[in-house]
Amino acid sequence: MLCFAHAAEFRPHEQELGAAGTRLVFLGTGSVRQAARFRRRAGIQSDVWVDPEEQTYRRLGFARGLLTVLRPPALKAYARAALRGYIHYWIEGDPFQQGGVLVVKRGGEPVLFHPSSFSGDVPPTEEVLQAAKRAAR
Amino acid sequence: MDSAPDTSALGAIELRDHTGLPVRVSTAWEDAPAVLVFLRHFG
Repeated sequence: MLCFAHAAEFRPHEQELGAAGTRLVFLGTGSVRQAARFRRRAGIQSDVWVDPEEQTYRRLGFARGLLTVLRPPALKAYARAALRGYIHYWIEGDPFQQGGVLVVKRGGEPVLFHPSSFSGDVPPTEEVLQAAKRAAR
Repeated sequence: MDSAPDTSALGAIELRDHTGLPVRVSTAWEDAPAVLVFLRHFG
């Protein structure tokens, strides 16, 4: 539910990012088939990459564990998403793995890095879009 | 910003896209700036 909600935050900005020459990529820990279904159901046009072995997640030091999923702020995030109509139908991938957002310049220099401490800990979309503009300069 | 990650090591990792094609992570920023959203899972 939170992943759909997070992807939906970017959906209205896909064209804007593309027009600015910025590439938007979603990554997840599930399979290729699950990624294709997620992309279709989320209604996004951007690529979705799969990392079932969580190599990138480990490399970036992202948090993992039961407590990251069940902390009070995570539970609040689930409730907020549910109120917006995002219901947890299924889990495809590692349910205890947290993600994050990385914005880089051409060549890979980081401009924004936000590793999530708990479910729903994501940077405001506007902050990500501003970072993308800085990365494009 | 949290401590900046080493994107050179990150970029060398090979994954697959939603069509099953292999992709190297560095292709995301090879020719353009990039926003990478690491989801928890596909649910």
